[in-house]
Amino acid sequence: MEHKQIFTSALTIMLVLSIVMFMANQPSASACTVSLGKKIKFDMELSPKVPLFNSTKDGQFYPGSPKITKNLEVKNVGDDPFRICRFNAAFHGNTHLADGLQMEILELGKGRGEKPNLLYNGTLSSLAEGVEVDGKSAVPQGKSVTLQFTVWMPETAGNEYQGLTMTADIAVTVRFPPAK
Amino acid sequence: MRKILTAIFVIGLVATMAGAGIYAYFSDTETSTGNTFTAGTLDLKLSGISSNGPWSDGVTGTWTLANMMPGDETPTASVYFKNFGSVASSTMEITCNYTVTEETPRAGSDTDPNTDQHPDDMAEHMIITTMIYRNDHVDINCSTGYDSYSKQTKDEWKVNDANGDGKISLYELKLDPLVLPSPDTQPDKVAQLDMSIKFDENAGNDFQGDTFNLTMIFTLKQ
Repeated sequence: MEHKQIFTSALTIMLVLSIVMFMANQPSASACTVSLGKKIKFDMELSPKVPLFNSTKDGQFYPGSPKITKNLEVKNVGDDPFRICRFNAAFHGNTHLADGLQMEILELGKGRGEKPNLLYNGTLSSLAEGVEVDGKSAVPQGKSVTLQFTVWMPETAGNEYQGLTMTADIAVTVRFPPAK
Repeated sequence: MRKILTAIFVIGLVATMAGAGIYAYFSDTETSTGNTFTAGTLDLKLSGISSNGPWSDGVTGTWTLANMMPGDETPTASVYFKNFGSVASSTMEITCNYTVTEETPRAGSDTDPNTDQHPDDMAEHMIITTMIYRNDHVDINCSTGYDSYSKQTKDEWKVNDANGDGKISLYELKLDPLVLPSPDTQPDKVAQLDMSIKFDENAGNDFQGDTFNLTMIFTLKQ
């Protein structure tokens, strides 16, 4: 009998603990709204829809070659604000080239004088595993945020990258709700 | 009883952690596809024939002396350079390397049967008598570093006389590589090196029967 009481108590404690932890992890506003049955659309679009980097137009990389900078607009076409939270990339072709290229990703400010927010600075190849980032802006419905991608080959890069060509698919992930 | 409690706690803990682990925010991912990145090339090719080629990654037997004796000299021979890469270079480095092969069987008159182990000694007696780097727009005497076309003199254009004997040897070229304007900096993108080599009159019996194997090294740099 005594064993049964102890067992019941322990089970209750664990159940309460599990519920508390689950609740603590819950995002507040928007997800709750969904649970109440209101349909909310989460969606974004990238612009331009054509590849950002095109070696035929941009030219070829060599150690110390000029940096190539392109802007990508991320527009909120859903109903709820979002925030940039992750980048990752998939490479095709001579993927070793990704080790020899550096990439910087900035989240540009909305107005003049607002400093850009550095989201990522590292080798292109490191994006293969994905990187979590903290977007500065919560982008409201109908608005957009501009990401500036800069790619270059450092002066220290060696001959191992000569003549290599690769293609990269760069993925941007946003999260709802935007709370950090 | 203690075992039961422990088991319950472990199960509960695992369940709780699993619950927390699988939790995720809603998210959306879009991809910019088909971005292309290409690295350029520097691809120096040589011709031992003419400024019009044929071009290859190396030439052989440009300077040869058979049965050479002290005072013998090669004819002036030329090597032509052209960059077939996609990236322009700014300089070309010229240096050399060498080995010595001892004769077999050993000649009794060869007073140093181990020159192959210290080839620099023989290289010091291989004297560069002519070394001109030129095309229609540059004419550098690599003994003096003077370009008669631009009327400029630069230290990096000449082989330094390290031992101050008034002669420029292959040993000194190895010690102090030349850094010359790349063929890419010239309008016609081609340059040539004219060179002749003399076996020093003062070379002694140490080198009798020995073979000097010279490799000239040309490197394009950005």
